[in-house]
Amino acid sequence: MQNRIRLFVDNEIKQYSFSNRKEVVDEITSNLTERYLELIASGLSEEEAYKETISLTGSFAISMLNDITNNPLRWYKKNLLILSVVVLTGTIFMFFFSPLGYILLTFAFIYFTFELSKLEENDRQKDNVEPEESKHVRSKLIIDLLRYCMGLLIFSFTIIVWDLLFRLLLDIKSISIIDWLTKVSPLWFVIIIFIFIMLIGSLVIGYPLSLIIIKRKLLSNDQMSKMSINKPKSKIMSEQIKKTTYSFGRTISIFLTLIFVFALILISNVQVYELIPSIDFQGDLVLIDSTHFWVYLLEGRFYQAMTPIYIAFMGSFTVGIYLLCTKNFSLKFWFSLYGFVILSLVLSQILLLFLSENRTSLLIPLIVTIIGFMYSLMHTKFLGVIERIVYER
Amino acid sequence: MSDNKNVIFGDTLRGYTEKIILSILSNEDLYGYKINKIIETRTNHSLVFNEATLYTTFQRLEKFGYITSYWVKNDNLPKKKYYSITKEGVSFLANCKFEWKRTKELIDLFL
Repeated sequence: MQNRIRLFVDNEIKQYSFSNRKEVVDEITSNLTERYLELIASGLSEEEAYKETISLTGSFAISMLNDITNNPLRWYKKNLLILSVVVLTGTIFMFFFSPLGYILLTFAFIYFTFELSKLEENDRQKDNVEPEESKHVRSKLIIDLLRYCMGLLIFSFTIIVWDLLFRLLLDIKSISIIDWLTKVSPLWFVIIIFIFIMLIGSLVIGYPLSLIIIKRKLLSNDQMSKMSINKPKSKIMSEQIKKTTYSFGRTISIFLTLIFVFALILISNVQVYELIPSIDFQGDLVLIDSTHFWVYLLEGRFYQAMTPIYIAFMGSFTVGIYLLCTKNFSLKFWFSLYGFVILSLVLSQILLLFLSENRTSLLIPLIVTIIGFMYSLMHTKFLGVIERIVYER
Repeated sequence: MSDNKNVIFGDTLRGYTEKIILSILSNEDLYGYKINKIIETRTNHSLVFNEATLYTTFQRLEKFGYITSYWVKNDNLPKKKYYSITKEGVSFLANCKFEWKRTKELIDLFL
């Protein structure tokens, strides 16, 4: 019977990679055998005793989760390495062969989500026995990991958005409004673009401003007197407004990241252009189509070339201003914004699909864009985790 | 045989399993089954740790240096792995007892 129990234990733990497997089997078999003998002595039949014995084995999955807890560094390093390699490869591919880049980044996002859910589960399962120092090191590691991943996500997601923007803007050159814009005088062109930026900017800035005004109105004198008797009203008000203002440093850093990514795309396009000077830029959409920018620029068609730049800067500006003005900034909002942009792009792509002669090539970015959008919808929970940890800190 | 309806399995007491085991080991060196048996007896079969929970707990306690282990051979039965509490384990247990006492006093004020 001892062999039967040993076989059972061996079979139970074979799916988990214990380093000292033989020892584990020996120890558990020894415990279960003793229980089995005791049950036999109490009058149970062999089969009944065996069934009762193995029912107290439990699941060793928890043991593997704790293994992660015991080796956080190894676990984090492995996952960070995979994530970094995939995201960077995806980013590079994005410039040379967009669909593969999209697929790689989507894979990285899904993989990361899965790993993060494991991290969450691991955190839930952790026990109080862990020394304070170890807890501190681990929580610092988790925060660093999340910050790193958050950076990667924002970086790669930003690239997706800008890349799609370029794609769209350079493909809608046949649409009449762009044609019309390119025909107006330079002065009118600048004025129109400026008004457009201001309109969008006002909408985005208007929201946090109205929040502050509403907050001022809702904050009655009674409430203020309860908050602090000694402080003057103006000071309380400024504190309240300060509370609704997001960290300046973080806002600027995100803003600069967007500009950096934007510059990177342009630089890489130059490289692509230099690498393949004979490429037919009016050809298939799939391959390096955002190099149109440089073609326009070199051909002296500055209006067409500059439109995406205006749009990109406007996007960076409005997002930056929004983050600067409101405490309500959250990564959920950030990605919702991107989700919205991507959805708009998808709809535009569908429109172009019917307008364009080259319909097949448009299908690929359309599909991967939909995947990206679905991804952004799926990440509410994941972003909640990041936010919780970042804000708790 | 214990009535399963009244049994509290180890997972329910997450966070306390280590302390219970350390407390038992503070009296004498014991092996897994014997520890479980003492827990069952003291709780009148109301608390049962399965093998996975026990093994995981031992592994964690060893990792943090609160217990050590050694094998003891038997003539007829399989060899057994005994666990022994360390100085760090004793100190950790003392802290836990103090914290528990303090927590209990506070919670008793409300419940």
